[in-house]
Amino acid sequence: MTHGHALAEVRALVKEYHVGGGLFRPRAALRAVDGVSLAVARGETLGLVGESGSGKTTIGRCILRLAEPTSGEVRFDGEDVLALPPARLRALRRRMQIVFQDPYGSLNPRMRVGAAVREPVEVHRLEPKGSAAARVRALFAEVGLDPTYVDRFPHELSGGQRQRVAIARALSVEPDFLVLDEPVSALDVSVQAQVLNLLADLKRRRELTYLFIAHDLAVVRYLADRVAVIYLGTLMEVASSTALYAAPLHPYTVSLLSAVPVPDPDRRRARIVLSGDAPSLRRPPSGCLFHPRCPHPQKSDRCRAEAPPLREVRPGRWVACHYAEDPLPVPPA
Amino acid sequence: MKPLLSVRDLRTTFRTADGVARAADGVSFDLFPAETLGLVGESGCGKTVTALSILRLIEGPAGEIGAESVVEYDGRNLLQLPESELRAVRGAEIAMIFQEPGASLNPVLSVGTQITETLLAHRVMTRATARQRAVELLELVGLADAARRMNDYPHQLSGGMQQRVMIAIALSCEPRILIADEPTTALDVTIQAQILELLAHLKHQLGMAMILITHDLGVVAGLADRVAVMYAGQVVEEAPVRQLFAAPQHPYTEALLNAAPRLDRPADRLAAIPGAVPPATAWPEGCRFHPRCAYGWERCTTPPPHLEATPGHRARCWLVEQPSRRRA
Repeated sequence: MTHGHALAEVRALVKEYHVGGGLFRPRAALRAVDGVSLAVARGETLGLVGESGSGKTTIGRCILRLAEPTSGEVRFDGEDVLALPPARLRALRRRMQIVFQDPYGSLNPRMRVGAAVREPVEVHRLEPKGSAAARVRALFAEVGLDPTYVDRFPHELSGGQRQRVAIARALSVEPDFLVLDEPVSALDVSVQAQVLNLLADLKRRRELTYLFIAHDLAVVRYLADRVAVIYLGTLMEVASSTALYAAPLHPYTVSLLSAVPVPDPDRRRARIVLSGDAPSLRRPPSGCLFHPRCPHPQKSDRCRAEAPPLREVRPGRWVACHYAEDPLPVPPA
Repeated sequence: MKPLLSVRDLRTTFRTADGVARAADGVSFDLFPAETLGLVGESGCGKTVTALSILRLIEGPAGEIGAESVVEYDGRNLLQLPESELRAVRGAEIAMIFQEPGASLNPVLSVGTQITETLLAHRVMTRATARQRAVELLELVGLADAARRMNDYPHQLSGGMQQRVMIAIALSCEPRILIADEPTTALDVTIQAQILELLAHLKHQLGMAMILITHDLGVVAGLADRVAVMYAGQVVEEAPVRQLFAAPQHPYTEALLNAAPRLDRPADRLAAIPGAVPPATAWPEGCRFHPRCAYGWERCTTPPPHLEATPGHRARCWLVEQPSRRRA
């Protein structure tokens, strides 16, 4: 899946972790990401959706080279991120930033939040010492924080305010690209809406590009232009947000959408309830990774034997299913 | 109908470095036989503290339940019961499951042992009968290969399976009330769907009453018969589930419904609620929601009582008396 104006791109990305192993037992390789190719076009928000263990976070980290890929390519604005010498990598890192799920875990508890936002500015020498404070105040205002909060410590702020600090810190170095890794899933609904609106505003105002990693399909729908659905380290479906939510083509996407509880008691739906758990990555199933849980009526020996490639079944719609032409219907509301 | 459980004016406080936190501050509601009551609210609203107070699981000396508070069950006030009598109620008649099943299970005992011990603690039966009953319970909660799973330890099970085991332990003494505190919050969405289906199935099959504590209005809509919405230590609205979603009376309920992004109603912009939940050490004067409310006026500095909008539908909001102040 090449893209004309890709800002960030991974090609055939593989990330293995080595787990287990004892005195007499060899360590086993676990493929968290298994050959993912994905491009984020400049100015778009790509939603990367999956459940725990799907590899979505690992992909984000590999793009920023916070995790070292086992194989594959990572490109940012045309440059080969994996081949860059350290000095060039540092310069490139200024342009790509990350916001984590838990701002409490990502902010230094002993550092005042103003200093936390100023630190990257100083590391990248973006501002003469004297004017850094003014820049921090402007950033606080931009993310909707009272600039007098610069002298507070993280524990003196609410969860929503801490996440605003984390966003301000990411923006402080004027990046083009943000990896947002579950940025609102630790927040309460009322605060989650504030932060999602803020992210939408910032994107417009600063012409940012987002990789938005989340498990919540409703949240992703709000922000994403395109959505990639990942299961056990493999992409299942990639499509525009509009197309994917209107008519999902992969049985996993259909099942995920159908599992989301809708706040309407008159729509206690005929849910598709998948049986069992996602299989362990230590012993991935043969063929299509989703076949043991797949509810598609045409599921066949072919699904058990042959892994379906991610293929373009309609312009812009990529699906890894042998039966994508005959999709599982979404249960009626 | 006579309620199975009545909570009246429950006040639970905690002494903290910042002063006294009034976590549950005058909570009242009824639970009727075989009904599922959804207790909904955001973090810090007092929903979990309310549930823990019902079973007197509040840890002293920092935490304290007010002397005037009443939890009436079976003609007795659970808050005044001697510890020995309370122990017979806890677990056996009112059982509870929590958000993190991994943290509630004993890591060094097999699943079978944990269920068997619970049975033997509350019922007179032989160990062999208890083990047999344990297998039946694991089958009831849909754990595949139940007999073999008896020998598994919690870490060998997935999060969804652990929650099924927790439910099996909770059901082991056939409780009349199950309190489920965020039972699916830590689970993936496809596993959440399985557990919600299981709870719906058990509720019908066993005719058990349930208090379902959650922050997720979708979960409530799918499972609850009646809903109590909590904000800042109080129940601010109580209604049958359809009425609550069709015509929310409290502006907080309305705002909460509008703030969540929805699959069935995509939005260009989310209606966020301004500000943040105040700390429990300093609840606002008057209506506790009024500093964040879109409709607030002078009267809101006086705390509103529960006002009945329609039979069974009550809200702590002056708008119930003055609906014309609700702008379109």
